[in-house]
Amino acid sequence: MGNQGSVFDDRQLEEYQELTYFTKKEILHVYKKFRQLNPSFVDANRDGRLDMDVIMSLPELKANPFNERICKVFSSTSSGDMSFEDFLDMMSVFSEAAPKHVKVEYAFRIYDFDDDDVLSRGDLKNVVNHLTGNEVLEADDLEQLISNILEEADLDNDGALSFAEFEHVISKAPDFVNSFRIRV
Amino acid sequence: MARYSDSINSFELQTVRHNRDSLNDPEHRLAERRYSRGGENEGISRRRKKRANSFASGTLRIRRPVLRQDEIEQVVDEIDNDTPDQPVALQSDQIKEQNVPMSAKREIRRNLERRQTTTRIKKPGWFRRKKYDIQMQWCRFKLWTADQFYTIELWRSHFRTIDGHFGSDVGSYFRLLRWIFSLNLPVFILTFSFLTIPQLIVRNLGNFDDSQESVTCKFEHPFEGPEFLTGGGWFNQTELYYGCYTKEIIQIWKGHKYDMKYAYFFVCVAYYLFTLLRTAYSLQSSYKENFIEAEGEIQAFYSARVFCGWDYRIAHKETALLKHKTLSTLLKESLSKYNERVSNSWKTFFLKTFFRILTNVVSLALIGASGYLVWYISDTQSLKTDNKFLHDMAMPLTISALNFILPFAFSIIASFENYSIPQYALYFTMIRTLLLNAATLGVLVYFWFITVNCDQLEKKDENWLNAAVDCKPCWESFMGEQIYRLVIVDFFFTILFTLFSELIRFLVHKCFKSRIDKPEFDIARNTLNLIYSQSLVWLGTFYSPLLSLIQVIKFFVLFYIKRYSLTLFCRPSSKLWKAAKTQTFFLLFIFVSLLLCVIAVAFSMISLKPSQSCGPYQEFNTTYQVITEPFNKWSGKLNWLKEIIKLITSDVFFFLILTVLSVTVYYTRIIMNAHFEVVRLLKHQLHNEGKDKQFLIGLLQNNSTGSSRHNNSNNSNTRGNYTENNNKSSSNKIHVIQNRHFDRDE
Repeated sequence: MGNQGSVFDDRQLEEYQELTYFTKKEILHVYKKFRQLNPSFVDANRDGRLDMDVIMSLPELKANPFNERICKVFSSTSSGDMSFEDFLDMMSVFSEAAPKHVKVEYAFRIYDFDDDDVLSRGDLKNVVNHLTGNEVLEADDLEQLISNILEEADLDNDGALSFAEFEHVISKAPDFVNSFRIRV
Repeated sequence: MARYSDSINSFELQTVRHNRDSLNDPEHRLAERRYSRGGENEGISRRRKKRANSFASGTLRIRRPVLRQDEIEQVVDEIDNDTPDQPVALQSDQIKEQNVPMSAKREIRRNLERRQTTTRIKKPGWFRRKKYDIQMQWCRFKLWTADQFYTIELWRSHFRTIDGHFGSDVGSYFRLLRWIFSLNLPVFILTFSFLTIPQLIVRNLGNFDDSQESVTCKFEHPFEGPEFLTGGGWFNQTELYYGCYTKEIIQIWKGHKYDMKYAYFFVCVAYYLFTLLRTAYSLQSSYKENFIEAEGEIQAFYSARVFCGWDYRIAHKETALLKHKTLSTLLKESLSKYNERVSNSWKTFFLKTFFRILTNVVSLALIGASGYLVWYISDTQSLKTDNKFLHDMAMPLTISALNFILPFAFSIIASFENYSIPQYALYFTMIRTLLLNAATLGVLVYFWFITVNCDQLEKKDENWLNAAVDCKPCWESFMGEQIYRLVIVDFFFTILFTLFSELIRFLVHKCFKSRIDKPEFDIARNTLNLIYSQSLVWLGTFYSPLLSLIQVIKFFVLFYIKRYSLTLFCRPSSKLWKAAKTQTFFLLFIFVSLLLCVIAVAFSMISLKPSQSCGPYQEFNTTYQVITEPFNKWSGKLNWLKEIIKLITSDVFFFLILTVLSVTVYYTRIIMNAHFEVVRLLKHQLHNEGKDKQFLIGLLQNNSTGSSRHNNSNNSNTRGNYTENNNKSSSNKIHVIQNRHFDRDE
């Protein structure tokens, strides 16, 4: 890792360690990844913000259908561009050490496309369409699928999933924690 | 409405409370979520409750770049109230949980710090301060070790590549491989440092307490080469096997003695205990996470597919495209199943059952036949040849061949069985394979126990055994040697299997590009192979203490072979793999195999006579006696202690413990039944509350439609009067019910 140890002093690293689910070495590794996205820019200004397109060139995000949502949720200006601290926040939530309930909260926000604090039919459709990519489902199938999901998860029958309902349905799906991870 | 009452049935407490007064009014709902989040989560876990309290209204707020000062103050207050007088370092978990950007978290943390240095009036007492000190030290130590582990974490970059290219399902095979590898490493360190090193000291320095006839294994055979495969000859004189460990007391330096008999016994007990506990712990936590917590009346099939469908570790375009396709097909398939209800006539049911009984009989027959084959070959030595090498390797080759070829037959059988859920076919194949492994190894070990041990052989009526069998003077070493062969042959079979199933298929794909695809990585079969080869080691470690070293080397090489064969020849899987639940099954299989091995080894320790010409227990009737004998010989003062120990080692005590355990199990069962009863009652109550709510909604809807109708139909008097009356009565009812609800809330 060479000179990157000197990028942060020990106190800063200590602080990051207390605010994220990472250890010092992992934080430095995350920084290395962040720097790789645009080395000259980051070297010039460590606290600068990288554009959403640049952030999305991270391989895991590039392949991820929800990449734009992820950037927006984790960007502190909600515009999609990220500073190193935003990036660190994101990687911390996706890390193995982050507990399930933290992951669930962010998953909810990622899937809540219109930011209205509920997963409505529109949001669910968006989620499914992003998941299936080019292999879109037929309209009938899509409707049926959304209805099935709501039937399973929408406990108060208001046609949308609130956070409590989302969390409840996720607790029935043990694969969630494992799938909602990105390796540092 | 019908659907409504359905969902109400399985509703959980906190969501009912949450929704009871929110009804369908969106504004109400939003306001309620903003302001009453703190109290709504009772009845989940303590931790969740704590979190909800610690940041009322926090979790679902639209994120702002910087929190207002008063909001920060509020959060700080809550954290401080939750964990009063704790140092900030211990409150970091709560800070981490906040759903705000880093800058806000930092602000919260600084505020907490400032408050603790300036405004805290009450200082915690000495005892508490010490407690926090220790906790902080512990936290720091944990972070430090995690930091160190990050540096030495094995194969990290490989895992990144595997996860990125093939998804985390294939990655789970490699993680299991690494887990078993890491299980063997401490065992090797234990046996090497406590058995092999003292033994090597003895061999080279020869400083015995009692310097009569000393080293049992003098180097007589030169090392030739084929021993690597057969494990015989030269290896027989080394510390690889039980036979070479001394029965003497070693004098390490003046006055310090090291008794190999006890060392050997306790090291064995320690590593079996260590592996048992570690496996049981993993199994327990995995089971809890994936089965107990995920159980419930609500089946979240579609939600799970959609919300957990994407594997966030995928980092490759092609894999991502394939994943889209897989998910799409899977959803389409399950939806089409939803549309056409399968007719379940008696005839198809009967046919299905008959067919499944038949397939089970066939697979059990196959398993039984392979068990018998192993017995027949060992008993009659029918594979005897003049070539010594072939003669030695005949049995391991047969067993490995059976264990590699029959699973293919099982998966073909399972495909005929036509299960509605593909996962079942997998589970059945896995169980059958495990049975096959257990049967072949079990027969072999039983055969060894009764024949190679001269003492056992004398006891038996020899008529039913073939004359070809002869007993071995050092049967423990013999068993170690045999298991060594099995381990090695299994290794070569794994490599061959990889070559055939992955490389050849890949080459075929190269020739006919369009027609035949690259092979997929078969997670189940590969994992079962891992379990089989590990159970060999568990079986053999007592007879060959350094077998764990062989296993460590084997798995190390295997990782690279599998990893490169995967990335070079395979393609990402197009099937969806239920990783979490299958992982629990694998752990269960590992645990069962381990348990069987421990039982076999414990049996040989407790009831078989050790060889009289080699090994640490030459003078004993059983290995176990090494523990009981000192007490029998004991003539010291503490006679009562002797009595107690006698009692503890007796059969009566064993049965006493068994009885106590059974009573405990019975007691837990009763409590569990009581809990079920409570759950049933609570569900009933929820059902009633759901009806309450339904009634309320009905009234409200009635009310609103009624009043609009009232406004629109001033002309029609009779109708108007009717609605007015209706309105009055319904609003009265609502009033009463609302009062009731408020009472309850307060």
